[in-house]
Amino acid sequence: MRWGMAIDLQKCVGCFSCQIACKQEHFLPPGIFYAQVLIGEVGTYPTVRKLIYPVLCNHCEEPSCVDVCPSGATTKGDDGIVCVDSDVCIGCRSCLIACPYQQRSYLPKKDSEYFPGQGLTPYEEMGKELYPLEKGTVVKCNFCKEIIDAGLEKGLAPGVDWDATPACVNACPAKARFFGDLDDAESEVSQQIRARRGFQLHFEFGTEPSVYYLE
Amino acid sequence: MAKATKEQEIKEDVWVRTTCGMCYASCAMRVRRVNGVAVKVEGDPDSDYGARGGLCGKGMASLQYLYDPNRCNYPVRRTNPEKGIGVDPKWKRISWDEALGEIGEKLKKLKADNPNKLFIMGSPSPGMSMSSLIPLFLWAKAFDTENTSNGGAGLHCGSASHMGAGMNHAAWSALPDYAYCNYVIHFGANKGTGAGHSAAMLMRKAADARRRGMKAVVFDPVCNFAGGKAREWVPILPGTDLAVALAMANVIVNHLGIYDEEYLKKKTNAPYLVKSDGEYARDTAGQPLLWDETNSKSIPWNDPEVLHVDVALEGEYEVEGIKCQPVFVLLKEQWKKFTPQWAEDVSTVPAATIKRIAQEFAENARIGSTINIRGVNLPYRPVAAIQFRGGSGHSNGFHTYFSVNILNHLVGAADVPGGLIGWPSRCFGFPGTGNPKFEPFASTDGFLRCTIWAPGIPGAWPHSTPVLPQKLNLLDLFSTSSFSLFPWVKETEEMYQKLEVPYRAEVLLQLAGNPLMTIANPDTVAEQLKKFPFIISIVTMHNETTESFADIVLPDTCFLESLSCWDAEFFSFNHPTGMDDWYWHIRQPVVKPMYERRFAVEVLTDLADRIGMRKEWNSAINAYLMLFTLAPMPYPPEAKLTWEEMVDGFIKARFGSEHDLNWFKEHGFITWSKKVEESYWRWFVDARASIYAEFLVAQLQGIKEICEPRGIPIDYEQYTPLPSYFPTVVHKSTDPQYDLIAFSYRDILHTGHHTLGTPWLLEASDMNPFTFKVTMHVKAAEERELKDGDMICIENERGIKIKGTLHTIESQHPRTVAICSVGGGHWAKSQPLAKGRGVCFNYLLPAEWGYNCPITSNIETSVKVRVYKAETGKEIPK
Repeated sequence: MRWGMAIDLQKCVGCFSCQIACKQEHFLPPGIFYAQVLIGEVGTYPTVRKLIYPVLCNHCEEPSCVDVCPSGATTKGDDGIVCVDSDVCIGCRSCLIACPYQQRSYLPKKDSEYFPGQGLTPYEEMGKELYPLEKGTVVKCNFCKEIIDAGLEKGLAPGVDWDATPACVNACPAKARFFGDLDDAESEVSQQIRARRGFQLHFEFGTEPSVYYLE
Repeated sequence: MAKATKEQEIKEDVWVRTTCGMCYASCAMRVRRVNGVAVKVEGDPDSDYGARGGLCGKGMASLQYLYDPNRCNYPVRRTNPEKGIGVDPKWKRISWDEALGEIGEKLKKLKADNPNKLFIMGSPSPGMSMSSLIPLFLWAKAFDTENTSNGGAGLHCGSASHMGAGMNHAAWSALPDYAYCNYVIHFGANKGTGAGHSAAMLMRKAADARRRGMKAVVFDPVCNFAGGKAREWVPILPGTDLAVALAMANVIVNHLGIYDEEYLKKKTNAPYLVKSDGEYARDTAGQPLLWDETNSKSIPWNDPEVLHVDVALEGEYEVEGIKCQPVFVLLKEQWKKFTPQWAEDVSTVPAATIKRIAQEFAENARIGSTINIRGVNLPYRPVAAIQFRGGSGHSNGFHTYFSVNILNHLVGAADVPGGLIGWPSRCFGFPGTGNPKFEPFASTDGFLRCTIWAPGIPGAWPHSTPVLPQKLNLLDLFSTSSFSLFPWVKETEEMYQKLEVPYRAEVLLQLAGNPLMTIANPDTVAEQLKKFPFIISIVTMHNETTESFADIVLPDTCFLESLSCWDAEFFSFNHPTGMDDWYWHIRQPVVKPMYERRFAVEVLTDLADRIGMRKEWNSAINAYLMLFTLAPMPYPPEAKLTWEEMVDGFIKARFGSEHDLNWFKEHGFITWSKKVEESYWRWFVDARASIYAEFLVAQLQGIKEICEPRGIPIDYEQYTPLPSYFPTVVHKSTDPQYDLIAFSYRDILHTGHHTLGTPWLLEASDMNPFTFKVTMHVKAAEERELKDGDMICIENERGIKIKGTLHTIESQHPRTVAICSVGGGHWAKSQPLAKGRGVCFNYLLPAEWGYNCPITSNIETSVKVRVYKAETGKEIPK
């Protein structure tokens, strides 16, 4: 069992829904992102191409972050998900430097408001109850592990069943994301990666990402 | 969210099905509510009225709109008698009773005096969208005022597009049939990449089409949204799409000789006989004539035999001694003028590219081929040429729209599988009730009558005869326009006097929108807004318009707090094209309206009672429903129904008593399967599209009779029935100093001026290299000694200057300056996060008579400018 993702760059239109859905799902404060959309261009006028790369933690097979973590807070699970145990994390931020993809964030000790000087919204207040985040620790994408595990308990299939699937995958209006078990050669995500010759970003970093891109 | 709650017990954890309102698409949405708080939104995974579970970034940010602490929460009154940009209104909070008491009294007196003195303005903005816009225009009817207006939406984009789609596709707008289309050409349109119409539904379908191998060719001065997903991006000068379309028609018909003869003969006015004066040869009953080759005589379009004989597309004939020729002969001759080389000189698109794309389009159309869909054989024409604001938002908008649209009709790719289809044009209704039923049919001169046109908006075929105007928007004079420049342009009072308009508006009722910023130059629009003695605004958020000019502001609920039966009405924007099933959704509150917010239409209902027009209000909605059904009317005319009762009655009238409001509250939507004859209706309806605008001959006479003796200048030249080239007002300008063309275009991240204070969208905006920036081509910037990140001044020929941050890119035409997302430049005190970000492009657009298409009134959305490093420039008002 190794959870992984494939992102179809032909389908993606750069609407930022995945980025925002993720923020909403995890009640992330201002400036903290588990998912981002990078926009660029390549070429010279008039032969140019727009580049759109939705990026997130790659849940690498050989994660640099795990190697450097002094407290053992960051681990790679049997399910392939790289997690941070916020009860153990000491906030040293070595992992921020080690991750070649820059997909980890440090949650500042000081609160910041989305509407500066105007307090927290009811949604944010409820977030403190439903999904408390530990200030002073490192946070990152966890492939919506809570959703996946809850789904598995109910006998649902992540990446297939809506209620067991990560928020960013469901969010995409162009249906550009595939999610599933990379160890299962017949899962849709595995088939897509094979058929479309999915590639990993910055393959040369050598961390063996579990997130692939389809051109 | 599996972490256990710390203090609160979870008493409630429910999902509510509703529709998104962050733009006017109204995508199906479901929202999770825990203990009374909305905590998550997502698309509804069970509905095709949207992305089947997906939502765009704006929709995902809904909760920050709902809970924005800057929302309008209480009715307020302006206590500062002075009005204007930057003036402090000195709001005083008042009660609803006081507000509606005063408004009701005022409007009651006005209605008794002259109801036309009430000017009603609506805009499909976040929080509101169609739930309130359609009923607003019905309420205007009930009040008996003809004076209505939209904000920038419509005036910038829709005037030309909707007339064309209505006349030629019997719908409010037209889209590629993504399920089968193999080759689509965009002329300034971002369909499929988050543009307003059918945002999520189209993103889903266009993405699948790309995967399937559909090739998209995108003509656009900037390679961003549509260009970014195109197989081929073709840079073009703004406002010159007309030249390319005309040259393409020339190549297709005259060089390649490819066209769908049967389609042209049976489904268009190509075989209509035209006299030397440009008008149709008509029989004694006034019906246009065709030439029946089988029997060597003329035959009117409505003769039962006309589709069974062979009619002529070529030749010269005599009818009652008068020489005439089929339209098609004139068109072919006309198109000869527009060579690819000429089009290159005008548009900068290489002649070879124009020729190639024309050929690819015509060949991919596969004229003569058929496809079997659900057992029905249909013509298969897998090509479409589309456009929207970028293409026809110009002073040559009418000719641009029709010239691009004609390309589809030339190859028969209209409302058949793979082609350009009206959405939706035809519906047989929910099987249990046969409601709503709407069918296009042949009306005046045999052309399609759109029976699903936006309620209360004029400009649908058949157009009314121009008259000396009694309306303040002058749309009874300019009767081929759907949206009006009046009363916003600086010549408004002068026009009223010349046209002897016998009264002036006394009250403006504005529902949503921010017209001060969205129409054109805000300083000019401000002068016009000042003239309204009393302005009532119903908004979700205060903005520049309310702060500068409103007298009483009422707090509207946003979409997550509203109950409505109007979001999925069929002229609306998300009904899936092709063979996707029909879906019809309600909008229902996810949370109770907070503070003292009240849903605008419920407020209008309250007002109707205070004014004493309940009967007219109920009857207006009854009449609307009656357009689609012969079932009994839901509202006893005098009954003082609550808004909830009205919604329940509407729903039951539509879908039967077992599908009442309670049923919909639980299920969210109703669905039924679509028939082939509904989606691909063209060959099941005997009516025609217009590819020769004969009606302009009479329209010209009508307008001239009224305007010429009164010294009103109009670009009469464009009132010609043959597709013709007219340079836009921008291209007519000759001052060499102003050597760049500036334009704005919609951002996938924002809706008009309403989302520029939503934090998640602002975070995304910061990440997006385009939002809030002014972009130019790298070399064009270098030539002017400008570099990436510079603060630059953009100045138009009238000396209006705005300042913005430059971002240099390769993906843009070097002779252009582009501003994404209408720009920004907010100054409203009530929108602290939006304040100062970006730049308000509209300052550069003159609010002037003549800066528009003379036929459709579509405003010219681009402008000649020069740019330089900023020392001066428009400061945002303090």
